[in-house]
Amino acid sequence: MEVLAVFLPLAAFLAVGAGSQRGLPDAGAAFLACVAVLASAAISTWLFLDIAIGGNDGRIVSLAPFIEVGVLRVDWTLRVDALSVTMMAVVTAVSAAVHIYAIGYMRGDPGFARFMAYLSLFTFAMLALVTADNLVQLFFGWEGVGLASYLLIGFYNAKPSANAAAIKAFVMNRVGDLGLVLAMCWAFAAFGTLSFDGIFAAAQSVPGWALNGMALLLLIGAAGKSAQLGLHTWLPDAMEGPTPVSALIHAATMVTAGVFLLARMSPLLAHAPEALMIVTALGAATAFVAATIALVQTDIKRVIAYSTMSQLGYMVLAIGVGAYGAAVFHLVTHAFFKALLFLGAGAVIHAMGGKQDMRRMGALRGKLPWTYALMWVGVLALAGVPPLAGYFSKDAILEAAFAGAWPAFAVGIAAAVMTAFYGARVMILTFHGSARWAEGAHPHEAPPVMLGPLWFLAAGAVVAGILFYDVLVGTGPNECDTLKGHVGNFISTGCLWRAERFWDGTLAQAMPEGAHHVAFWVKALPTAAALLGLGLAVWLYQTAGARAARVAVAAPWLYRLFLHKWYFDEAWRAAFLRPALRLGAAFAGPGDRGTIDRFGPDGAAAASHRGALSLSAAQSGVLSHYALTMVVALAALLAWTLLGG
Amino acid sequence: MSTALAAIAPELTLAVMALVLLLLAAVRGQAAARPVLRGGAVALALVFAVLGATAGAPAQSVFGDMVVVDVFATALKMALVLALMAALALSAAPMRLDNIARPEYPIVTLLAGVGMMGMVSAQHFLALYVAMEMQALALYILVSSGASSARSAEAGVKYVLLGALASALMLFGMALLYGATGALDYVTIRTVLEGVDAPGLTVGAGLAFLLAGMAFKISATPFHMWTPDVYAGAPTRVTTLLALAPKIAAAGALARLLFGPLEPLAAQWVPILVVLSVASMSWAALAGVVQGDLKRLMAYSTIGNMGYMLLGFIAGGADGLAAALFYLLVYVLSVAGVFAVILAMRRDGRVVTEIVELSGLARSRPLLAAGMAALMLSLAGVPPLAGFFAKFVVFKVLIDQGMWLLAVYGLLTTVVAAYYYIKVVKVLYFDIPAEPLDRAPARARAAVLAVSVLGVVALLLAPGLGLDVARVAVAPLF
Repeated sequence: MEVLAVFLPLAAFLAVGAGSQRGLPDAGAAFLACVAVLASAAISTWLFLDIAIGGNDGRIVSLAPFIEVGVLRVDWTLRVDALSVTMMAVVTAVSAAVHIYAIGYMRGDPGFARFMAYLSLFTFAMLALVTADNLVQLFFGWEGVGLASYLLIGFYNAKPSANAAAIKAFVMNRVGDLGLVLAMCWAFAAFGTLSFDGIFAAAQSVPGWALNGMALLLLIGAAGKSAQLGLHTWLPDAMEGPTPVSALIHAATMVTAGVFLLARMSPLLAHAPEALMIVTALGAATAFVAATIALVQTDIKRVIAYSTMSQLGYMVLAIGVGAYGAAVFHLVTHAFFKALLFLGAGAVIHAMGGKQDMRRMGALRGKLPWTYALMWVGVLALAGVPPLAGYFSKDAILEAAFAGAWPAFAVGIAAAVMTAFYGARVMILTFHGSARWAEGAHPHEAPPVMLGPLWFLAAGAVVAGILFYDVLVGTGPNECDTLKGHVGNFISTGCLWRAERFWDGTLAQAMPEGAHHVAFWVKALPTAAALLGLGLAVWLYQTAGARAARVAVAAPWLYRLFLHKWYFDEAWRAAFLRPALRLGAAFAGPGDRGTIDRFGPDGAAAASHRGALSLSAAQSGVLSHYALTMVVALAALLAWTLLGG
Repeated sequence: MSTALAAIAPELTLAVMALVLLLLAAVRGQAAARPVLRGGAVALALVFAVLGATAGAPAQSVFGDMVVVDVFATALKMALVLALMAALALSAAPMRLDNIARPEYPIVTLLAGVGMMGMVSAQHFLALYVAMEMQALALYILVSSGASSARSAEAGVKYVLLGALASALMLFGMALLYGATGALDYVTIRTVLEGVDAPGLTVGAGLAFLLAGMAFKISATPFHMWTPDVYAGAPTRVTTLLALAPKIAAAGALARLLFGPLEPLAAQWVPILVVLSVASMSWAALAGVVQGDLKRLMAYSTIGNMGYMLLGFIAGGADGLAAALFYLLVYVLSVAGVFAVILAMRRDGRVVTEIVELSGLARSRPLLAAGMAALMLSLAGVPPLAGFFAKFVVFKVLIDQGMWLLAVYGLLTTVVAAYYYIKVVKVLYFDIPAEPLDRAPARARAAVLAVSVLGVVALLLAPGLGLDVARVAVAPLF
């Protein structure tokens, strides 16, 4: 079963990819890809119910040997346990929704079949990543995801900006990949194996500084894929890809890989407390900085993109404070409402004929009523308004943060206010107020094939939190009895549904112990923050943004800092790009051409040529010259033999 | 006496056949050209059969120890006969197309062959000198045999005069050694020289003169000056012969000298060979770079290749000489194919020899181009072709002897020389196609090319085989 789930998308990629070169009609490509990914989603859901919910034992399916060099032995395997089936279910569900949505969104595009093929490849790579039983196979999926994202971000490959964005995504990810590769090397040197079980079993036999080092390298890897502060600059630019791709990248198949990696390695991270402090700090900083940037962006997709980055910050923060279950829980709920928001934004962009600037929108409520309603669901879930999905998962993270590191909690609350604010801002600018449409815009509601996935995702955004709160991050053993009757505890069997039972040892722990004993105000504060943010947005923007503009004028330097995304791109350009280019130019010009080529190949060639010409001149064709040469040579020989010998 | 005659049966057969064919030519005149050519081929085939039949016979010295017949001699004679057959086969098409078919050409070639075979069997200064002059005189005639061609005549004159100079030097060297040792036969000279602690002035001078003459024969720098001019000026079919057979004969004679009577003087002649070898490799590598004419290029190729072959002599011992012999045979095999291609180069009935004329040959004649490319890559020493193995064993014996500096230098010169070989490949495949060459059917030429290319490629299958044969062949000298 699990083999089918993983390889059906690959089969779809191969079939559709080959077909796209041989005139496969769009309908056929859509059918093949969607059926494959739907089947994969169905199987994944069944596996999730069977293994994660049903409590059946996970398994490791060995497919084929992969690498055998000396003591290094790596197999192609599928690891099916609570963590991987959860990921599989989310990935395939969101991917299926995106596949179907793309039928409508990409209709008539000349590269339709190619697009569907890439989507399937993307899905396969992510599935290979989450089902890996060792770091090497995980890296295979990791790079596959990188490749597919490169292909999809640069899908409109006639557009220079799309190519630039694709290259940027690839290169920034390579920086993270380097961290992961180094972590793998170190792990192999320290443990002599790269399989997860082997590493975790030996984790405590390695000194703490080594574990901290590995954890930090893993963090660098995760920061690349999951767009943590520093390596995040590719994520907003990745908006150059078609909107379904953005949804897929942000919700299911790419940025979650880093968080998954950290969750998967949690039995190792748990022994590296110092590194976890850095993880916490990085996550909190990412959540905060990304939220501030999202406040002032005017491109609808960019706002949502920074929102993703901010939410990823929450997840990493959760990892840092040891709330691994909460991190994965937020990953799951976020997948639903973020895919919903992106696909909704796609519907808006579709309606506006490709325009993404919110300053040229407004008053779309009447034109796109369903999109409007469904996006509000997404925004409220994102903001963390109960009882929607985001409320439960964000709450869990912030409680754990309070128990673990109160500054992270404070930053998280601040980011939560901003999250609600920019979410509401998007809705007000897009759907309320006056129409500021560009000439010739004729907004229209999206077709059913695009609305259907929105409904599905909205349903997920509403219920995912309620359904899974207790399952994924639920109470510790002490609170067993009080749980009965909890709304999430839908099959009540006493303590059986505790989160620890669910995760079945795949995570170091679901939640830190202290998180279950926080004061009421701590639990209530995130909700209050969300309501505050929503209220602020309504208040600032209800008068056509006049108040908001005054705020911007009042603190111009802050506004500019946010608008220019804290100048990360500029800083990177000055710190790395320009010096690297200068260094490269120096090596290429005076270094390579001027020194190595000049005195090396070119110099030797020129010297040979000069020598050849002068020797040719010696070949005068004059007989007496030749005879003289022979006699002189003989005289030299004679002299040498007689004097030397 | 009869055993003596039986021992030189191959030479006798060839000489008698040459005389018979001469008679035929005298009677039938120009019309005898084709029958004589065929008769020459038959004679060579016959000699090859005789050589093959006696290859296993024990070594024997005849004619008062002037001539020795051993495995070394027989093996080299077989190689010589094959080279002569290739040269004759390649001459058929041009003689027909240029309408210059003359019976003298095959006959003189056969007589040159008799001289060359004598050279590898000579065990006496006089026998060596007579045999050498015999092949030289025949070759002088052939070089100047280009019909009404001033270049051919000029080449002939240069060859004769410089050849005479070399011959004189050599004779003087022999005389000096005779004066010093009182003997002309190799065995006695060796015995005498072995008894001398430090060779005197006379011996040293004799050695230098002798080696100068031999260096001329194998085209070693700085006694090579005649080679490019003669190669370019002579009719191509004669150049083919010059590039193939005389090198085998001269190398064989040199081996007999150096590892026979002059063996006790190794301390004196090794440095001389080092100078000759280094000079040849460098000069050929550099001067070849600017050549535009394929025949001239092949002249430099010969010079360079003789330099590499000498490396085997320098390493010394049975292994070194076997490596040198193996190198020589691979060189002859490759060059036969190259000249088959050069002889195929005609446009509108005219002979062309410039490298640029091969431009884009891969389009019009893919097989011919592929064959030429394989041969050029082999000459450049690109694995896994025969030329690579040949260079490999030569460098290996050098390194085994601790002379790695010389091996490194040799390697460096192959890098430079690779330029002009690979340039030909580039012209064949990547240049804008010139007018296609004439298509003249020539089965013999195709056969030579096929054997050459297949041999160069197929050595890969049994790289040790050629070297093993060479080891057996050189065994009698040690």
